[in-house]
Amino acid sequence: MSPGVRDAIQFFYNGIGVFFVVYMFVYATFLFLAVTVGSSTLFGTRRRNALKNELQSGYYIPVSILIPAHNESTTIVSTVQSLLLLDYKLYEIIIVDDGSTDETSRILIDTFHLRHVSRPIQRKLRCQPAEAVFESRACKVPITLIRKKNGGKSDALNMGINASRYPYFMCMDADSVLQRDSLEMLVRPVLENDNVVAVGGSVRPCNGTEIRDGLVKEYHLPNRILPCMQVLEYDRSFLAARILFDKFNGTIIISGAFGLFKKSVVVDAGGYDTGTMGEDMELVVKLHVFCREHGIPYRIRFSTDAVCWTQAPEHLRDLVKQRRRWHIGLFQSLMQHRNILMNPKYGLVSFISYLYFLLYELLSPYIEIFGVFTIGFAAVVDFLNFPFWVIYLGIYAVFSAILSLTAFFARVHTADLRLSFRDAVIAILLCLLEVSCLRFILAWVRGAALIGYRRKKMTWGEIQRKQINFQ
Amino acid sequence: MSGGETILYAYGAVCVCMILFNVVYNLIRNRRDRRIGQRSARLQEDAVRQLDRLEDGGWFENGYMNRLIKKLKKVDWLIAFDRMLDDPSVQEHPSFELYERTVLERILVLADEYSRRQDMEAAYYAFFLSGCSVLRQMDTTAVQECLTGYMKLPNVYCRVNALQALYSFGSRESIVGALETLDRMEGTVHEKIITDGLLSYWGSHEELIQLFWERYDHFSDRLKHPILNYIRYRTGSCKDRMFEILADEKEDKELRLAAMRYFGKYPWKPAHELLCTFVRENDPVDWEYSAVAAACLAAYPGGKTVDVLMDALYSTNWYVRNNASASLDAFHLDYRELGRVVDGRDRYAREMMMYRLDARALDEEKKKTGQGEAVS
Repeated sequence: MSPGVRDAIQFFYNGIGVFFVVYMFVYATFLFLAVTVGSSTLFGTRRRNALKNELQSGYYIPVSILIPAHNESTTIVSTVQSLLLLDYKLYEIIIVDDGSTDETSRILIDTFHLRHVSRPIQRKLRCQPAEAVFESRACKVPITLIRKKNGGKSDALNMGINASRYPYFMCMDADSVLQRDSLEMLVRPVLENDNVVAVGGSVRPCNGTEIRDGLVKEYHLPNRILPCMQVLEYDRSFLAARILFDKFNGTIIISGAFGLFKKSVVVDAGGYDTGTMGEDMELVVKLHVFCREHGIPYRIRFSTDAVCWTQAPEHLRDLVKQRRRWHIGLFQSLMQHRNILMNPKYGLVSFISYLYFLLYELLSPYIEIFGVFTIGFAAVVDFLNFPFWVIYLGIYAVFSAILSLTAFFARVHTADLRLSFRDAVIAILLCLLEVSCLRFILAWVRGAALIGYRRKKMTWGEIQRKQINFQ
Repeated sequence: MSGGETILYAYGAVCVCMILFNVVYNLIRNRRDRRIGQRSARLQEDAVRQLDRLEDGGWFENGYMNRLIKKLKKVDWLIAFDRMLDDPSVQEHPSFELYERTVLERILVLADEYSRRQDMEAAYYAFFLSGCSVLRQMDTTAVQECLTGYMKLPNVYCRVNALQALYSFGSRESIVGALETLDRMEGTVHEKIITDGLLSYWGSHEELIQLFWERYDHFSDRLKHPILNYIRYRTGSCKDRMFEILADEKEDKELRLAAMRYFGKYPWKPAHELLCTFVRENDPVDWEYSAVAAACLAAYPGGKTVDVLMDALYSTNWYVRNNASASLDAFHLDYRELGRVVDGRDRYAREMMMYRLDARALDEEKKKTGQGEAVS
């Protein structure tokens, strides 16, 4: 290798080195802050509840619960049953069957004694027309089933908003179940502050957990390795980060599986975008934009007490489909609202939240893959300090694993869940595997998600469901 | 060691500390739960001894009260004491009332002490007092003043618990004073909490409402609204005042709507004409008046109302049509009487009314099968 080429490579690696040191330093700082702030908040919340610092709110805020369902015959009844057990007084349940080809509607009609009604629905938001509306008043709260032509999840949610009677709506997935107190907890931030326009709840994988009568009876880590690692990932990446964003009104994603919204603001903002796969994130970003553009004082909150249990994919192919969808949704949301980037009008939402999602979520797989290639190339051209690289990798893995465990144990302890010794050991062992293997697999999946984007941008992909261990 | 490595090691060390903190916190928490139970048992043992002495015509042991009050300055002891008071074996003791009154007299002195603590602890103290109904028969002037001061604390739970305590044993002057203080503070309590809290007031609602009317102008619109709602839930004897608000075009819209709802609950002939006018006007900008008036007319059966509501079914506003159909449905008109709409050419009006008839059938079915229960 000639000295000129060697100098050029050296120059290249110096630049790469500076970039990665800065990139990883910022990321490590963010993770560290998220986990420490998240853990402290969880403990603070627990203490607050013990001292009766809580608002009882069973019927102050009427809520319409919207469940978009497409071929959800396996889980839909469990989901509705869990909703009927909520410790809440004033709510309604609206299921929107988005052109299912299975028995979703039939099962609901038979189980909940729904009757066909000629109900007119105001089209405040654009959506596919209703083919039939069914209602029942025979249960604790009114249940409405709307059957419509397939138009996607956003379209189904817009239909649900149009049909809802109450000023707040909660959206949830058809494969999720709520704890008895979940809705009450989700509503609490609205009672604390009138300006709250949206509240996100904690979504946790229910694999391995036994939920009876709306209460967690047995908490175990899942038997399979893949969902088990997702439990750790959820606590580190989602729970902790969202608590941190909540501190400065910087939440820009509320999971579609569990979120509460003020209907009037959502309708004024234009409702769910039917042209995106990440409708949950897009809506929240849109609410930030709408409220700031119109000078509306607002807060978007995250409630750690409100818990929704959902099924984590048990097979790698299902996880790949899910993460691919999430990544495309993230890409679409960030691109659609790119004017937020580095825009002082949006304050910390722009300079922290948006930037974080852009650099450490959307672009991270490409940066990580690029990093792997540069290491490979460095080895080829004899630029790699192998012992240092191993130590650095080890430190990184242990650091991330410790963060995962911190978030996991903080969440388990503060939620009054009893963890067996076996599960604690499994968590400790798997956190390293999650950081060193799953993370790279998912980086690859996310990196490849945008390949063929134009062709596949609205393809959801079916994920295999199984009956939730609910009753 | 490079700077980057040092930082990573430092972060790792802090994370290890966090894990240790988790473990230690969990142990402490378990111990704390056990300890509160043990403290409650010890307090109960002492209390039963005092109760027996009181029953025998004696008085408290020397130093008992001072020891107790010293302990109750700590919030965990107060939690334990609260639990102890709830124990049936203590409550059923013949001397319990005397014991409770005497001890509470001393606990009231702690109001000032707790107001200087963390907001969460102050909130718990207020919560504790809100559960002591015996305070209604005691002189609590000083503690009521202190609780009114809690309205100035930024913690919403502190404010709500203090208000709850005042509703539980406070005077109407204290309650109105506390709400006035709250009104002056930044960030208020959700109006439904205020309405609901007022409904739980232990004393005479008529007198409290009287005082509200006297001080009505002292409040901002954001507090007037829950107060008007409270009056609506409580009494039908404020029609003149409510009518003034409803008829005053300069009045805030939400307040006028609250007054309108009042006449939906308590029908009053002079209001009937005004409600019909609101529905007929069908103002496209302030359509809320027409919509709420259409809903309120459900309380005014009669030919004139039916005509107004039938016309409202053809309104361009969806909410006006919806509420008009619901009110017509409340009159239990049959298909023949609704013929003009059901057989009419306006599809929207027809659909709206047909749905009401469907919904009525569902309600009747529910009545036949009993109250709704979760289908399993």
